[in-house]
Amino acid sequence: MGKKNGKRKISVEASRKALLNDLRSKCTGETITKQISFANDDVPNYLKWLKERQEASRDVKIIVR
Amino acid sequence: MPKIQMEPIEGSKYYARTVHGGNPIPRDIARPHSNFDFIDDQFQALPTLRRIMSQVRQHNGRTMVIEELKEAEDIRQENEDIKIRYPGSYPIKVCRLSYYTKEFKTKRGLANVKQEEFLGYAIIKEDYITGLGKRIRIYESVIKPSGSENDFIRGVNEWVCSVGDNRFEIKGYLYAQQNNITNVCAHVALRTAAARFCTTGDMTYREMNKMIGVDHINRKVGGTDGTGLNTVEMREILESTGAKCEVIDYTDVQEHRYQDPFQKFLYGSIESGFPAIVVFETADRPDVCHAIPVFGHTFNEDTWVHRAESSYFKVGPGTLYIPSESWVSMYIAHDDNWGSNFCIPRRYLRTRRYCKKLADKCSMDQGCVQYVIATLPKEVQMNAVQAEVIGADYLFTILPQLPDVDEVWRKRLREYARNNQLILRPILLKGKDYSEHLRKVRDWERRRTFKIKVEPESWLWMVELSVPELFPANRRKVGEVILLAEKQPQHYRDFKNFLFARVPGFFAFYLRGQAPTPIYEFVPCALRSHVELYGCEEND
Repeated sequence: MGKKNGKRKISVEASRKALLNDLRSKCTGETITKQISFANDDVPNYLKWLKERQEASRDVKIIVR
Repeated sequence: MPKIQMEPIEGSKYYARTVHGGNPIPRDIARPHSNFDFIDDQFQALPTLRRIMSQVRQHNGRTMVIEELKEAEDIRQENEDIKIRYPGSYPIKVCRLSYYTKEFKTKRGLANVKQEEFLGYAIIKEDYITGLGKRIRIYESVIKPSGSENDFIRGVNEWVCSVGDNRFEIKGYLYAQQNNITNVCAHVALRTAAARFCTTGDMTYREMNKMIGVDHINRKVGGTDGTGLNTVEMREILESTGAKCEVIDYTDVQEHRYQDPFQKFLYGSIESGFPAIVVFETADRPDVCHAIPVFGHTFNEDTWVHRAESSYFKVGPGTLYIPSESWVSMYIAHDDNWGSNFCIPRRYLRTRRYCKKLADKCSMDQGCVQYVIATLPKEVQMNAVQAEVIGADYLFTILPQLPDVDEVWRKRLREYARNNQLILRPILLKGKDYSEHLRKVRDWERRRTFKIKVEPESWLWMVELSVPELFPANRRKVGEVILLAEKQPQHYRDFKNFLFARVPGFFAFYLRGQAPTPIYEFVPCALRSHVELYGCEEND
């Protein structure tokens, strides 16, 4: 935990856990735990490609006038 | 990155829009007054003023107030810079025109104008430039946008305009025209976009030029021997205001369609209330590009576009969906050469196609998009395209594996997913706005869920999930995934950005385990069918 720009920063895990506990306490039914399998790597591959493409774009100089 | 040398921007004497004018003269502009005659007689048939006054006519403007301005600080700076660039030049006149729906003929009438009767203003500047002659242009203007219910312009600033002893406010994106001497189209596009991030006022041309070393002697931007700005300089100027720029280059034409259509970056910013700049070729000089700021869009609920195969966004062979951008009919933009608040058909702007015969760029294509600068707040580390595909990754994985998949909406969604007919819309919002949205929404049977507390000041991406018969017709959705926007996303799945997903009947939380087989916990949620999209809540 720390403070940055005057904002209190909480870890993702802590934030998610607090929210989950809050919802568990409010919901009326039973929660279900389940393994969910990713079917393909389309998104990781795309994100990798996009990152490289955006990095290369940052240095492109086009004259605008 | 150089820091902007801040000029004194406080006080009403700084900006031409707030400086006290001379004697305000009301003028009747209702029919049979001719805007054509007025502009021909007094403003050298200036086309950009014609566009501005045609918007005033559309708003049923009845009175215009004309004021001649004494030097405001921003005008004084420009005059000084013009003299450095072309010694011997001098200013001729600066006029402020303001427009009203109310009829009045006197100063007393002006004093009684209500805020809602103010339509906006235009400041017109005329200069004599040594060797070039008289030049006239719109120095700046803000005119109320059309207000059609299918127009979506978010993130507008509120501008104060002084008229006589009165102050009026107008919401909109500031329009300005280049002088092509000390500033060019890149400057004015930046001015429109930068205002979204400036906490006070807007950015002056002198501030921009100082940042990149333009002194009008050794480095010139406008005129016959000016070099304009380049896209790296534009990005640096915009980032100095507190914007995070997401840039993408389309000069390198590829054999296959771009996997990142420029509209996704454009729409990703403007739909969340942050402007973008589109850089495209000009027909007469292909080596030099023009820039326009884009800040809104229109929505066509009956469009056929999403039914066309080409409208699918294909992340990979197993991940296809319909982007909500398919329902955009026009983009709303300023073009400094022609005026403010224009609608540009979505398919009119395009990137250059690849010619198989030439094995190079198509030589028939002209005026193509070369570069896009989309903006977001500086704290945001994930852009709209990343958010959308990461949202797709979680949602499309969770949907077919939900508990009790025979429940009616879960079953339907599985079918929509199988046919690649799911719609995704990424929206950037604060945690407090999401909590408020969830508090307001009701499902079709009017059920609501309990209050949830998300860190109020955190930036989140909400990727909304819908289907073609819901999204455009009654503007509803079946779920969303909430992603933490202030964390840099990785290309591998580390679950660091994933806060949770909401699908019909459940909230889904990541519990433990690594990709590709993580464990989720499903918490029952009362919202079992579709609810309103963000911004379309019925219980406001």
